[in-house]
Amino acid sequence: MDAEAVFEVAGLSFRYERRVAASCASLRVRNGESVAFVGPNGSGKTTMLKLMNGLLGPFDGSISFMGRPIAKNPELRRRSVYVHQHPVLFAGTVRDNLAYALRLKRFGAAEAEARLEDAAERFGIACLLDREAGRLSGGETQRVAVARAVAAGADVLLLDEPTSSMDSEGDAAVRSMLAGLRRSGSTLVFSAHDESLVRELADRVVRFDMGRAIAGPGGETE
Amino acid sequence: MESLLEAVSLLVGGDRETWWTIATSVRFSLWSTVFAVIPGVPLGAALFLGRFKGKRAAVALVNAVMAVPTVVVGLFVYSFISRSGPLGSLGLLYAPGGVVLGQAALAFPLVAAMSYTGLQKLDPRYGETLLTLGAGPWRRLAAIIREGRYVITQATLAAFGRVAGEVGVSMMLGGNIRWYTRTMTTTIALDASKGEFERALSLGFVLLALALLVNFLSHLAVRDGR
Repeated sequence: MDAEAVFEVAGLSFRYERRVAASCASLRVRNGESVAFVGPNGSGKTTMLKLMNGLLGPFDGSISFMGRPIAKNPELRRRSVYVHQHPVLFAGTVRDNLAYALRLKRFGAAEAEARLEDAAERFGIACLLDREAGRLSGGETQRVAVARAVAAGADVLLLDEPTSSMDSEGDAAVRSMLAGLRRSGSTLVFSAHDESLVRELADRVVRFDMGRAIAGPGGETE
Repeated sequence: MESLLEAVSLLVGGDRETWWTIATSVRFSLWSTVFAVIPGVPLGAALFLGRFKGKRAAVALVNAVMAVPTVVVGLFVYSFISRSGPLGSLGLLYAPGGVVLGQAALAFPLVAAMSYTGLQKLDPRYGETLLTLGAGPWRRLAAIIREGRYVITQATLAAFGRVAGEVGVSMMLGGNIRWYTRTMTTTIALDASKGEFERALSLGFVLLALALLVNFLSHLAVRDGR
């Protein structure tokens, strides 16, 4: 086992309606690494991200997080968050959304407030805090969703197409946010169609085709 | 025509027995709806959120139970609350408690099945977001119920409509005792069998109005949920 590994996937096969929706012989994601999943639509990228976050199952093979299987692994929920391509924000304001995530992690009132303000500042959403979450643009929603995760303590982010269907302003803001996360040492695993985003952010690329993860440069998958 | 006018006059004139029967029916229906919703909604939400082997079978079972005829439900509950049954000492048979229990048993699978089916229309990303942010099963259950409140309102109204209009359970477990367990539907059954249609018709109007009201409120719940 690699002490530096955040995720270790071995012999994974996940079937959906009798079809192999995602399979991966071997994949290791190291702490602080930025890994891009690329491939055509329906190739299994999103399924793989959801499997790694324990949102889908059961599956054959194994997925470990910080050296322990993801099933009933409290570290997974404490440190890792999956962010949808079009993230869901709960009813209420942006502040309510961050506060709810902080309540889930049982931070005390003072620490929660400090984390909320810090995340708002860091992700440039301070001006949005009192806005209705349902009225934000795509880029703003993406930033709030990531801020919500990071405020609540996540340092391993699984991002599904983080810049898709975004205007240029939103796209630039999200890229800048992701670059900042990478610099700060967060572990990023993201799917993308946008080659420029992959070039900018990824240390390593894993290609997917027909539900199967295929080796990329430096990758272990086969 | 004469019966029709007499039926209207029973309602408008405030006939004591007619209005007592209406009030009793509504009271029984409200309580049984409450007792059906308390376990039915969490069960529907748990079926929606749960990922376990046999989930399809569990859903199929809930749907199947929903289709069981009212007299069969009545018979089943009867076996529990009759003097020799496990709950016989509670004295529920031929008492309001027995009717409420039987009606709740009738409505419970309906609430669970409607909640489950309705919640399935919610955005699946909602539950996934709660899970990935670390919400535990109870928090997720509460959040899903809150998010699906319009669906649950519909299920609750449907349950109320179902129990207000049923006759088998009320007759079998309540015994249709005047000034005690007599409901609108059991009164209609009794009076019609005797050829006395005035009160049966007046109660029929009330049941019809109740059904329309439930449908209207259900429509409002659907509209607000969109």
